[in-house]
Amino acid sequence: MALIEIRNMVKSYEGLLVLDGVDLFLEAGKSYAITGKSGSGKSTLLHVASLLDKPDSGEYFLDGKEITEEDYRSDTLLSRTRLFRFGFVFQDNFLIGDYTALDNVVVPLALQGIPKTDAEALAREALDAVGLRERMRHKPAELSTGEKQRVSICRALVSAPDVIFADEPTGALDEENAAVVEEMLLSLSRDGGRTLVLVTHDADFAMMCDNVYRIQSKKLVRIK
Amino acid sequence: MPYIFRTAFRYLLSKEKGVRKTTVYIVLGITAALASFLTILALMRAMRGGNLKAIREIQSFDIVLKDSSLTPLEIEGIPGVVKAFHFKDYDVLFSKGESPFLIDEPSSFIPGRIRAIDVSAYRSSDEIDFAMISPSVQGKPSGGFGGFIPSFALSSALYLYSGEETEVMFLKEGRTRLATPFFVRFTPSGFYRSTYPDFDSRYAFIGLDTAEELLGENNFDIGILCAGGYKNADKVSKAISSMDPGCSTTTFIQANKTLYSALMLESRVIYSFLFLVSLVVLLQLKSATSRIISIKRKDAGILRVLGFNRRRVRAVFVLYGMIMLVFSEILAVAISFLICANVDSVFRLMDFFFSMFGRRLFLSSMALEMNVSWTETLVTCVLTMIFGFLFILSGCRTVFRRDPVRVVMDASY
Repeated sequence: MALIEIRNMVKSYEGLLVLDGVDLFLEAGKSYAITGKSGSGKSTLLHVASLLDKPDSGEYFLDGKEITEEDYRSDTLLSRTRLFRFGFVFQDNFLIGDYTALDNVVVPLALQGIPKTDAEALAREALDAVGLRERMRHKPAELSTGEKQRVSICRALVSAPDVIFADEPTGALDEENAAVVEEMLLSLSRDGGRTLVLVTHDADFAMMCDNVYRIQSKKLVRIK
Repeated sequence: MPYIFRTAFRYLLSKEKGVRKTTVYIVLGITAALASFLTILALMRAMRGGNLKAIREIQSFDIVLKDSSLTPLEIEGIPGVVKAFHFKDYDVLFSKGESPFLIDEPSSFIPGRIRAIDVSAYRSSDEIDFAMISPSVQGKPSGGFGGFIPSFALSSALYLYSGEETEVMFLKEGRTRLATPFFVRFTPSGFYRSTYPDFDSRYAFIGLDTAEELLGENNFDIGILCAGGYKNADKVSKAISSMDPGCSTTTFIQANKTLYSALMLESRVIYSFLFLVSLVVLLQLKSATSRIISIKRKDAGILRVLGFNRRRVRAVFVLYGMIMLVFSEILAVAISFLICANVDSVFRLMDFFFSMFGRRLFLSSMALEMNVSWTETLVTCVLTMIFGFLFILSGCRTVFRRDPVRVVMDASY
């Protein structure tokens, strides 16, 4: 059974049809790359797949259970799914400016109701693992772009989600930092058994994934 | 829930330029408005109290009953009546009688009043003495109530020495009262003193028996003091009217309609002003919350992505607004208490300030007893919290009409 299954999904963005009849089948522990031209609908597909956005039509199944219109409206199930099962990494790292690196990583744990001391211990461990032990007390404005992205990845991983959605995670990084981030993300599905859904322009990075799709003429075409 | 609190507190202490500035301005604005609100309420109460007290000195009873067949004892049996007693006020002209000491004293008439009172009503208890007529009347005359007791100020105005007679010209009741005066000579059996100049300079007291004996009075009025004061007079008045339909009752408010209306008008004007102040505070709160959310929209979007549902994100900002409100309320209450405790200094400062512009307000010459009422403060704070909550919620709803998660999504395109 697929972890996430999207069938015949149609989605418009600001009145423009972006995706038309897209099917996507995501299995646990695999990595998926979605590529395509700018404006082809990669991010839109990621947002729908990660339950941030609602498709215009089509079906969405999570663990074989359909996400209904009511689920989209009430937002409770969607928020809980994002909180407990999904992790997000964006090109613009989207860290909270008032918080230190440590506090940013603590956020998803705190939202899950994990006691502060335990949450901080887990966050410290995660930041330590990506070489940010000395930068834990720094705020995002005091970190480099690469460091911010590593904090962002820590935040996505610290609550051990089933699926990581990464939207152009290396887009704003230099070659060296990009390589570090690529390795961190790919090892998640390779060694960690997590599902990785990656949106990227970088063909080499995409080809390192188990499955590669390309959005072409509003449809999803499998390349690998 | 605790995380919502923590996030709200974080935002409150945020060093982000726009947020900090807005937070400080809102807190200062609400504090100033609420402190003014509470201080104005206290000032209004003090001024009103002063005015009412002054009126009540002249017409001290909550109800005056005329032409009634009821006795004071029967009236005291009515629920809500504290005390009832016979009395009668006479318009008189005072003048000094012949003096054995001085022959060149000025001879003049001073218009005033004599109040005949039911002495036994005051003598029934050691605790209730002369002060029962008016709390401001001090001392108990040595010669008892039976005689003639002018005020000390009136005696001074008449150049009255101890043991000297006062000539009193009574203006007899009736439509032609001015045409039928008659004179009675009294030797004071004591003096009284009052802190209220109007009362002090115009009134003298005689006993009811004296009034009966010397003036042939047989139709006394009944003065009634009600539990809770003049505010409950209407209820008691109705009860009396149902017991004795032929009598005429005049409540304190009816007797002092003009002054009371002026006070009511003043209250309405001030309450309208305070209502507008409250409205400004609430609108400021709403717009400030909206402004903060607009600044923090991206953070709200991040929280949404990370798993906060719409309600929890809104709760963070509602809490943020409420914490500001509570903090402002605490500051405002403290400031208003400080102002009231040091009202003389504040008035002196205001007098000095306005005198620089050629305006003389003489605020510091007012002897006001200003106290912030706890009930008033509590009601104001609770109402501010309730309406504040609604306005903050409305501010949040306006801004969150578009889900903040879109900020994150739009940035990805």
